[in-house]
Amino acid sequence: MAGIYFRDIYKSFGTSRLFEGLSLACPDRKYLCLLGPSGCGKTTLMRIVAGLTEPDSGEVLIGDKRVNGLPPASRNIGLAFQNYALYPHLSVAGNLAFPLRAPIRRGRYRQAEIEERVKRVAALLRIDQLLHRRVNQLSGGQQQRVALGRALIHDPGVLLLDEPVTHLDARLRYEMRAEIKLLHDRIGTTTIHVTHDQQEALAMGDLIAVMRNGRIEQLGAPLELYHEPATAFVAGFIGDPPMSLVHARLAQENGNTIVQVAGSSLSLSEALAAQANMAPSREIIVGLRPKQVALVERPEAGAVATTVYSHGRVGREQQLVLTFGRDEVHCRTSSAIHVTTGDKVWLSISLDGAKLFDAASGRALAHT
Amino acid sequence: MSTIVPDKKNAVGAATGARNLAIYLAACLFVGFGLFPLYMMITTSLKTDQQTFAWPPVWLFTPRFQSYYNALFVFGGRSADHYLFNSLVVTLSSSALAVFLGAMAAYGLARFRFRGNRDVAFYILSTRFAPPVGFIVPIYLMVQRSGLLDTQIALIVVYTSMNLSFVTWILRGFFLEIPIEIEEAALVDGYTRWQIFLRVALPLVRPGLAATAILSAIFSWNEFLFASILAPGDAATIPVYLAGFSASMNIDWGEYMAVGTMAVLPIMIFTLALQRHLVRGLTFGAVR
Ligand SMILES: Nc1ncnc2c1ncn2[C@@H]1O[C@H](COP(=O)(O)OP(=O)(O)OP(=O)(O)O)[C@@H](O)[C@H]1O
Ligand SMILES: [Mg+2]
Repeated sequence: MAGIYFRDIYKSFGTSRLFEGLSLACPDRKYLCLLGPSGCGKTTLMRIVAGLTEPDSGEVLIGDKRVNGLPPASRNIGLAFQNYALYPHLSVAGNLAFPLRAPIRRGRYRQAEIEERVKRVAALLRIDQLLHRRVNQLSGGQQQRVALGRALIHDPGVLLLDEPVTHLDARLRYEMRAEIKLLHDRIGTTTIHVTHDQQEALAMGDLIAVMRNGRIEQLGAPLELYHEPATAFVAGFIGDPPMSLVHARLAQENGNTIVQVAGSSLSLSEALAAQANMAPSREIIVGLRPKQVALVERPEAGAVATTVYSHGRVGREQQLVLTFGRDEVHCRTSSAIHVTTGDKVWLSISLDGAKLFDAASGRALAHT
Repeated sequence: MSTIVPDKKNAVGAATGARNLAIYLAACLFVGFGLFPLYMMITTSLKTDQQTFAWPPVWLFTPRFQSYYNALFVFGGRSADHYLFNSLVVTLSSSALAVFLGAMAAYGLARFRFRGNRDVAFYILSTRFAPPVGFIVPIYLMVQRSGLLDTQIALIVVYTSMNLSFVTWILRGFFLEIPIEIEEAALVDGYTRWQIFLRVALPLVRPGLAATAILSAIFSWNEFLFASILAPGDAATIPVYLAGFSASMNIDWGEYMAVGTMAVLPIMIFTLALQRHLVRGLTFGAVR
């Protein structure tokens, strides 16, 4: 067992620079979810751990061992590829047994034990009915589970899962998440799990690293990211729905700091005012949870005029997306209120519990 | 309305039927044209001389195997089976060597980036630009100096080198089609390059191996020019032996055709046996 550490990683593809001094630590026995939009470098980071891509500079450590330049085979890794990469000429059983028959593990497993393990993993992943099928006769979700099984069948030192459950139907996805989590709790293999589903990351990760354009925006426990997002990007990525991000200006009124949003002035609590005073410029972004905004019948003091962009039912409520200026606000109301796209509605905003970010850098305004 | 639609459909059906019939007939003619010499050869080998030269031709007759018996057991000197065996040894060895060495070269060219990769690939192909007669003299000298004249080894080496270039080119294309992630998965699973080549890459290019094996075997089996010059005697292959027939004053047509039939059979069986591996799309759908 071993932690995974990146130290000051640089990597370019041709002229496009992906990582510029990325550092990240996934301590021993932790389950780290790597969360980020498409193209931010999640797969590349996994390939660097596996030794399939070498960084231009910087160190990769597994445990206390520097693995730069070490061939993939001797890193003792289980990797579930994003696009499965199963062996098309082998059956499901053949694919699962392939790592166990590897020359690097020669003599470690007897034939009987190989069969035993294949059966156990197949049962765990609900593919025991398919063991003799060729893998190109399987559905996408079945192939994904074979890929997952192949990654963990040899009890690797670290487990790298590149979007391991994205192609499963909702129910199976929940089941597989639970199985993976259970397995991790039991064996404790250090795991990096790539996903772009924030819900999955919140549900599974001991730690979550949010990535964007080859940078780590924030590393922290799920609740930490939820309650204390370090940047506006993280705030806009995590939560269902995520925080609404609204551009605003700080101003002074009677010696108090206030926030001007779309022509309305909102007062700040003392704590928030203290934060606002730390702002490097007047331009800020306000992060609002859905419960901080409410529709109001008519324009009242502090209400903001908005347009309904979309609306959809969520259980007994409806979720509205409202626009004003270049910003979007998510808001929940009773489905008794009838609105349609394009309607003008008024919104009252409460800043209690809002997060403030510097507009230029996107960083959260510090407390202190 | 409901009466018009079926009518129309029938008209269309009849038209395509006629079209299909025409295509079918054309195909039959073509196949007949291709197979007729083979038919003539096989029937002649089973006829008596009288039947062979009878006019009008005899279409129905009782086959007799005397010609085969004569070719194998009666003729003086080496008989046909000796040369058939030579051909078999030379063809199997040179094809196996060409496909195996070619596969390794092709894998290297497809998977490793090194300086001059494309130049090497082109050079390998360019070895086939010159007509073989062009370099028969230097090859003859090389074989003679190394004391390999009239040996099977000489033919095996020459045929292997001649087949190697197209085997390499065809297989390179097949290897390039394997998604790289499959081999990366094997690297992570703990396999070395050499084992990945043997246990992942080769099985995935099986159709390519079959195709190149068939082409090399046909070439080696039929090659005449080099065989006649490098191995005219004891090590001669079946084409050289066959040519000996037409050189003599009066040709024993029955025996000639019997040897011809025996010369065609092995390569036909070989091709038919490998043909079922020519299925395409083994790697199709391997990665998402
Ligand atoms: N071999 C390569 N050559 C050139 N560019 C590459 C290569 N591999 C990755 N990239 C680039 O690096 C960036 C990150 O790619 P990566 O596959 O790591 O993204 P990702 O976060 O896994 O995205 P996704 O969620 O879509 O899988 C992309 O812009 C991609 O185009
Ligand atoms: Mg990816």
